Amino acid sequence: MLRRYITSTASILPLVVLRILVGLVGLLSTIRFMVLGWVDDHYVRPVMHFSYDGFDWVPIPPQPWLDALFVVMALAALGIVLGAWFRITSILFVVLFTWVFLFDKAYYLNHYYFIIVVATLLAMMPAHRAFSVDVLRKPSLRVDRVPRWMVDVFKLQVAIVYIYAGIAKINAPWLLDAMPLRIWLPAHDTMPVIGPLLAKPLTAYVFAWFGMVYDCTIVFFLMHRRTKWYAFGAVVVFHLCTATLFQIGVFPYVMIGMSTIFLVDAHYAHDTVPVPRTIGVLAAFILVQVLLPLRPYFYPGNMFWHEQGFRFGWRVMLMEKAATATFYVMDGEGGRANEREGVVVNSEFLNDMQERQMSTQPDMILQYAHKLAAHYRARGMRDPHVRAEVYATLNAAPGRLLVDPTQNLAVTDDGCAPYAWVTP
Amino acid sequence: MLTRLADNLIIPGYTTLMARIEVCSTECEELLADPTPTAVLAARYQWVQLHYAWSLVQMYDFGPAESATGNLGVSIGTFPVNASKMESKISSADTSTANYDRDSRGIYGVEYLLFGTTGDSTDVATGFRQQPNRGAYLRAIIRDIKQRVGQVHAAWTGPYRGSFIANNGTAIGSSTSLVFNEFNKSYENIKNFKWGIPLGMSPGQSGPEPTKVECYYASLSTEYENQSIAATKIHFGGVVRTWECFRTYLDAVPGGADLKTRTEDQIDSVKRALDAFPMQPSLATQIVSAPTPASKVYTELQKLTRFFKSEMSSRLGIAITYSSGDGD
Repeated sequence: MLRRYITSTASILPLVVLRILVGLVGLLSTIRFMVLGWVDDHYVRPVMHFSYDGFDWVPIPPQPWLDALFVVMALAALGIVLGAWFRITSILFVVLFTWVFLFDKAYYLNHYYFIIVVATLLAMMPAHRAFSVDVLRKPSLRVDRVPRWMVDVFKLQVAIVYIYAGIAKINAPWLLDAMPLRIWLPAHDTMPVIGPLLAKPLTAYVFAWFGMVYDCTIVFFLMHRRTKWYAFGAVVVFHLCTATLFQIGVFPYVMIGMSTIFLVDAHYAHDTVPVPRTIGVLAAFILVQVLLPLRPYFYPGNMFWHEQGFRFGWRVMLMEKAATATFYVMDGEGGRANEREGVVVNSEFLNDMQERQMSTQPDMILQYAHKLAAHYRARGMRDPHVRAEVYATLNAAPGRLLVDPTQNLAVTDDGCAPYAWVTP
Repeated sequence: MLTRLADNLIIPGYTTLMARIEVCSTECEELLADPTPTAVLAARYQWVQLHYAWSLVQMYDFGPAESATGNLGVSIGTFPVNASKMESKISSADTSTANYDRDSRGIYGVEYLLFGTTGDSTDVATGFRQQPNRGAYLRAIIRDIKQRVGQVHAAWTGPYRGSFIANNGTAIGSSTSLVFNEFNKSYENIKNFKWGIPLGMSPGQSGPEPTKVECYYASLSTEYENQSIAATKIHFGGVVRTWECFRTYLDAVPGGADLKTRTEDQIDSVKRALDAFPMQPSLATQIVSAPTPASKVYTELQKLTRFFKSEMSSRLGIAITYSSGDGD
């Protein structure tokens, strides 16, 4: 049966639609990034950057190369849209986009990661073999049908996103206290017509439960022939709502666009196409996608508090967390007890966005402490001791210490083990 | 809340500041016409009034106060000024303000010219008498302040007031989020640059740096050595006035009432530390000779930071306007 499934075919149209969509999102985000001056704001001006674990070797090219990189990235995205030299442009786009993504985790966004995942999948597919410049160049490339799993794998990826986003909402604050929606919705009480409703706690509960059920089940309705159009209507309404109410950029539109993969008629047929070798790579890729979001469940305590393994798990819009982090540095050489302890002015090293992200996420707090230690060591301190007093507030609870304020973070190592220096 | 902010604090604040600039400018013209120590003292008195007016509006550095070449706070409120840069501009008769040398003009640039490096009014009068360039430079930087504040004032008394009040809610770009974000920045600037850095609190510093206090030159003068201390107390007064506009919001939100109590307890601690802070000698002297009361103020300000910076925005759902507003 598996063999029968793998050798059956589908129309190439869904892949073409997806190719154009992903290319356009890539193109528009890249242009927007440049036009808004974010290249300099994010990557040139700050003197410190937060690398991902194991990726501290990733260099940030200096200007004007960085601008050039963004221009090439935009051209590559255009190549994807047009299906022009698709093998090269799609791989180039994935490489450049991922490179920029890896510059600094302070700017981590689930939708950037989503673009990487989908573009990577796309680069493995023959999405350029219809309605493309490549077909104009080389008509022999043209095909009408592709192996069925090539279309289904995108449905599976969308399902992974939604279902993990839904599972993440099954927690006590979200369902029983309607947190953080009870904070976020009243902030829009000046909106016309629905504004006054948003201020009511009941509305927050309705949104919370509906959101959870929606995320957990929507793909099943999208997959069913009878319900798919109603489900798509729900997708549009749901994401337009989130786009209006929350600051989540292009993500709602990306998800609306992605959902069209369920609508475009794939016209499945039993066939006997050969099984390509990429299917193994693809299976491994999907397995990683299924396993990665599970990381935080292996850590004790509240994942929203310690955030270990939190990224890459489609945990979006789940908590209202804010913190103020103050770092104290002193030269501990020879254990001089009376050495004066200095207070770091974070704005000297980080921009607003970096400081805000760092303050709430223990792994970044530790990374920043290490960077401060290196900075002051280079400035002549023999043995910098760095400790952090971080008051974090989660879902409107009174602020409390996020990390042990007595811990010398300069000599505290990161790793996969649970952070003993983060307060329970 | 927005109407109250605009009509009770911001617009009257800028109107007063404009008037103080006018008077100070007139007094400086008289000084330049006849540079005597008495005229110096009269001009200094008006500068102190101007600075006081500035301290009450400096946290409203958004909207009309934003410009492509830098916010008003940076354009006219940069300190410490670079005395040698100013002196070299004076000797080369360079009165242009179309550059990024904010540390050679603004309110603290005027302060430097009126108080001098000795605080002695006779020295200042002599300087103006002997160097016509010096007078021309003073005139140019006052004109620059007047022009910049004038633009902001005109916008607030003109069309901006209406759009400010209409732009309600707490979403990104809303007036509340603008006020709130600038308020926080201004608060941190007061804490770090008016207290922390002069006290030598930064890890890179080996001790206090009295020349980095706000109003360093004014504090050299025996007539006005209280000035920097009074101004700092006033700054906190400005903080409290803005807080009072925010606090009413907190009643309606989860955890708000509790936060209000805790914030006000800490505001009281800051006030107590400020009350215990002696008015004499000057801040620049105290941070070297007897830093404990100043350190105490800094510590209490530090403890207050989180209530403004993270807890209040989190309770109120105020969008923090960062460049990357792309969410989660």
